Amino acid sequence: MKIKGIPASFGFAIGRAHLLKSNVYTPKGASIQSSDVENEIERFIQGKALSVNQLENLHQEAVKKLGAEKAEVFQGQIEIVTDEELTNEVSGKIRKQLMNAEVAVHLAFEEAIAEVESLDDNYLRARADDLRDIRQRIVNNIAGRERNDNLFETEDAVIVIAHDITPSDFAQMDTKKVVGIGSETGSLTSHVSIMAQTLLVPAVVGACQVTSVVSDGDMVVLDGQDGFIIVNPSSAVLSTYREKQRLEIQESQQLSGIVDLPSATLDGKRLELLANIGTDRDVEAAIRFGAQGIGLYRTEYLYMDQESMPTEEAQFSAYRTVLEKMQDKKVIIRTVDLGGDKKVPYIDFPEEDNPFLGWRGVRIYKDYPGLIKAQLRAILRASVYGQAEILFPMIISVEEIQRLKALLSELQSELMREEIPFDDDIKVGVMIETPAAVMVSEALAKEVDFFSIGTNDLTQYTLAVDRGNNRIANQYNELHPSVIRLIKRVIDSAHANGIRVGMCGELAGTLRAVELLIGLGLDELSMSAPRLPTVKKKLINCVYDDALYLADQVLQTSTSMQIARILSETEPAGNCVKNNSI
Amino acid sequence: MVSAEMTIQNETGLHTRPGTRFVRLAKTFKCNITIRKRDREFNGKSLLTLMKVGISEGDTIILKCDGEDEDIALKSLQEFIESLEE
Repeated sequence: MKIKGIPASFGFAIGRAHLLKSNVYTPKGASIQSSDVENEIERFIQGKALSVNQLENLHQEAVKKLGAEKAEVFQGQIEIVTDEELTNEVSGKIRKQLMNAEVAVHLAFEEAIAEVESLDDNYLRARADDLRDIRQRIVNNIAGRERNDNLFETEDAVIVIAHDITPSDFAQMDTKKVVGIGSETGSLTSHVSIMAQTLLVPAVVGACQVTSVVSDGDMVVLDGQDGFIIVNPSSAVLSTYREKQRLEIQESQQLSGIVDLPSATLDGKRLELLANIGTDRDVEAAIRFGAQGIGLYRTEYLYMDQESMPTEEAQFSAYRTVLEKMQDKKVIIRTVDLGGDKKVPYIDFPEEDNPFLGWRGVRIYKDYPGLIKAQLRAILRASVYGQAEILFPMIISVEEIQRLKALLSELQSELMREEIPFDDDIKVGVMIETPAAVMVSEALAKEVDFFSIGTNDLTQYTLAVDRGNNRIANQYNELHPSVIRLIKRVIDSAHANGIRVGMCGELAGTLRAVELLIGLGLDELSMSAPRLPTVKKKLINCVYDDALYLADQVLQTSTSMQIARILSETEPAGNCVKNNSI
Repeated sequence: MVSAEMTIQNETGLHTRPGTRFVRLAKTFKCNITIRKRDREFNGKSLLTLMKVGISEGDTIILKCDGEDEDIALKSLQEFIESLEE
């Protein structure tokens, strides 16, 4: 039996199910007499005091297990329990409406929970679960009900399954015994998910009806990668997952070794390995996986899901955070690339037959100059906090970059007049993602400090294939001979003019292309952080001379099939099927 | 009564963690502390209310302090908000 949920913390767990009994109890009860009012108030006060006590203890335990920062959630809970307004409301309900203490508390929280759940912010909405957790604790304490999770008496390798797992529940778990958690409620940003990620405990949330299907003691596989909970798995499924666990352990062991090795081939050719990030939260993963810098900081997330354009201040803050976290490692910030499928309400997008060939990227800046000015000012101001570089997307002509450089210069003068410091030597680059840019790359190279090849868009524009179109998506191929020749041309233009060239498209993180990319002469590869160790492993086992030869061979073939064959022949035997009859 | 207008700069705004610290700081002062967001005014010493209203990055609020130590209260709270980074 396989239940699907939302993967909330990566990893694979195998163990016996331990069902957490539901602590959810909705109090009902008769009204009280007016003579009982003071007594009820006293019950409420006692209930609060006991709750605070319990939470202080939980806080201390959590500090030890999770660290002070993550444990702070319990301080927040204490603050809510002792909240003035809450106390006034509850007292009001007891005195004026003659409710008993449990019901008064339940209803006072109900309002707050409803309001929090109707807020726009995803992060905030998840706080509603915290409020429920706190409410339950106070109500249970007033009523004298015990919380009944004896997780200290379980055998080893237990997977906790429940309707709802609260931060308090999780903080009490012995993570040597609890190897995974699964719940019917919860979300990716709930506190429990975050705690599980910190402690590297695989977790699946939102698994509807799992408590109806799992019994205490059932053998369970919890897949924190794809979000499955498998009850009473067959031996085939069990061995598949044991293998996944083994590989995961192996990967993480190798990971810690690889991060410290120099980023170069066996014969000493260096290549920088960078990470792509979308938000400043991705930076931690980038650092953990050994990125030597950020090759692409996609700034669109600052603009999307918002009612209005992000202010210069808000952006400055975000860029500063990333730059400070990365310290002396470079951070290539790509200016906002909206349009196509990335729309926002505060910009008037036209109806387009061909949005892909439409009003997007730098084209929008001309019509909304405030947009790019605010962003560039924010980047410049933040540049004093680290190694910022500016990258412009969707460039097709030399005129475009010249105009943008003039604007940048203007803004730098503006900042100087305002006596605001910035890095006056900030590097500027362009994305090469259109055939037009490739063909004038010689001239573009004289205008900028670096190129970044965006293979995703470059491939689509070059092959005239929309990878989102099911009918022809199988023709999308980043290793098409035309695409590879264009890449080579860009690299040659860059080096002929003494500038560096990197790649930030999906191809950069594709294992079977790594040796080819090295041989073509790229200086940097930027990819999503988890890809870094695998790619680095490949890099440090390559011989540059062999890579040059490989690139040469590939550049001389003119069919995708031959190229695919050449590339797969360089994989160690056993990883692919050889087709000698072709 | 003294007041000041501020815009929230940090990413998570006055949610859970910074919210808790804000309220605890506010509670150390004797004066009344209210926060005004758009047309709602509420008690700045109540974390529950703070969560209900939801103060996010980019929001403009008016901090009001009324009472004995109002000046130092306003100054401290302003500094606190300006210093938030996460």
